[in-house]
Amino acid sequence: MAAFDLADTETPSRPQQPPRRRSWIKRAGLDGQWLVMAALAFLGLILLVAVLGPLLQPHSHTRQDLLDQFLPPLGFGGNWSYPLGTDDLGRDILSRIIYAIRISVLIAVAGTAIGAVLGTFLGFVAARARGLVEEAIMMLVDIHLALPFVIFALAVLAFFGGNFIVLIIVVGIEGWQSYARLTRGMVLSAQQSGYVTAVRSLGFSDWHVYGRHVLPNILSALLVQLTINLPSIILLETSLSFLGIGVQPPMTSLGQMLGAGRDHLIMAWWISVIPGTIIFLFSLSACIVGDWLRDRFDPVLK
Amino acid sequence: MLAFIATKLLRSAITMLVVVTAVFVVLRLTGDPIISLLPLDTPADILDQYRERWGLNEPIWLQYVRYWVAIFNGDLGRSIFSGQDAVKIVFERLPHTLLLGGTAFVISLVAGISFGTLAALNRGSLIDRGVMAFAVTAYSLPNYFLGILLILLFALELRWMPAAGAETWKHLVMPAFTLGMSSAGVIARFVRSAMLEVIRQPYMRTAAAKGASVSRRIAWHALPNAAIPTVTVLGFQLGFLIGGSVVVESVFAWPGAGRLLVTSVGLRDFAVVQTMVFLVSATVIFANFMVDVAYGWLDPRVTVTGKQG
Repeated sequence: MAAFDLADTETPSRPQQPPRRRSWIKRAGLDGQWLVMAALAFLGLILLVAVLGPLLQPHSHTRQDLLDQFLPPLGFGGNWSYPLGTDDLGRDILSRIIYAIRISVLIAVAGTAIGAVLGTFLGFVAARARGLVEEAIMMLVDIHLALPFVIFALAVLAFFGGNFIVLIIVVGIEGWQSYARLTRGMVLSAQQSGYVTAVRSLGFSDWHVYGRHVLPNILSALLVQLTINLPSIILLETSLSFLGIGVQPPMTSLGQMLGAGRDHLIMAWWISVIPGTIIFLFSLSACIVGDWLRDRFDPVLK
Repeated sequence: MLAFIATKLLRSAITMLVVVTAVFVVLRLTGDPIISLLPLDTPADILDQYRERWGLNEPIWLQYVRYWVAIFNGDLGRSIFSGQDAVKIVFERLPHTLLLGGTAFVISLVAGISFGTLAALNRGSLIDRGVMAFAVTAYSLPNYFLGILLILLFALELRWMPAAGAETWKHLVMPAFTLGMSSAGVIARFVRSAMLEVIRQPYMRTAAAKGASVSRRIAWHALPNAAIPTVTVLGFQLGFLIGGSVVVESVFAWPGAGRLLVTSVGLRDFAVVQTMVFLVSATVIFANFMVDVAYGWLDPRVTVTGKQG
């Protein structure tokens, strides 16, 4: 065994060394890969914080301490009991950020699920039904694409008085059209392919043909689309909360924190800059990972 | 070409109808403006008098018919708060929004096209990477956060620029930059990939073989062809800019129509919200109609039936 190992490493290793090194350098040279790794790590961290949530909060996110108002973060004259400082009511920013991440991730995940399910379903319906139904669905897609969605979200939410469930549904509706377009296109081409004809000729129902055979085939492309859509979902929720019609106090989200901190910019920049930075990194990471996934798994989407 | 325009026109008209109807129904189903207008302890008969005066006690379909009849008479309703003509209220604010949106659009176009072209011509270089990094950053940076950072740095720290209002040209700089940035990123990405596609074409080699200079090859041969796919994205960017102006106007206290929308929505001022949505939809739908026509004109291969879905 030892002799075999020795022989194995002796002879081929010398010619093999240069190409392996070159490919490693090539990978390192594509700093995209490092960026993607950093982005994945950040998304993982955000997800972990969202899941663990209350276990990580040093204080309650609603606990006020009016003696400790406007404490700056560590490194700017703050102390260890409030590492990221406090806001205008003396609430701990770190605890509020952890809670806000939880809420923002919840909205992003639920909203994405609603949009993906709705859009994929309508895409299937359009591709299966063709004719007027398809025409109507694709026109809804065009309408949605053409109009500034924020304005409609604003109208709907303000009239429902910032209801949390309505907010999730509105955020969910934002993304449906991209799944609908993608699914319709892929199902149309799948319907032309041999396997669908084969399964159908065996006499299986539509649910079986589309659910068990077509859907698994297009799932990877849908998952890539899901990652690509994530930033716009995050940005929509945070914009609405920033305008004061999204998440309502005492609940808080990253956008709501930023919007509330806007009134204290002169006194305490950290109240809005810290959540803003996290929103930015969150959506940037999702962008980077989405682009990477697209290039890697689905060159057609390019 | 005529059939193409006619089909597009019909689609635009149906789109408009769907949007106006949807907003009309949503507004009426989700809240009574009279309750937010009058004090909480107002007797019920006075509430009813108000509803009657504004035609709100009629069945919704009758209100809807009346609404359309009024629109064809050029009347989009009155603000329930000031009693003023809603169109007049919106038009007072509109110049500010047009100034902000127009400047932002020019910024995003100039930055997007030049960055995208630069990146495509230097593919794989540091410039290319820098442009791509800019594009992703600009897209991921929420415009309200960029606005707040700019206010912190240039208004509060350095005191070069005013933080809010719309009195001088200085007030325009930061909001327009904020609004234009994310669009610039999207356009740069699009122009880059369109240019990469174009410079591979045989006619580019022919132009080089004829001895055309680099600048002529780019400006005369490459850019017009790269413009074809880019035009579509511009239509969508307009909607994006209008949506963004709502947020940006709020950040910089810019007295435009976007802020009017946010306040009117809060007050349940039906006529003003409906007028805003009507005008915005009409503008965006018209712009996209023009984009479609321009597309058909720029690229003769596009036909009604052959358009990719």
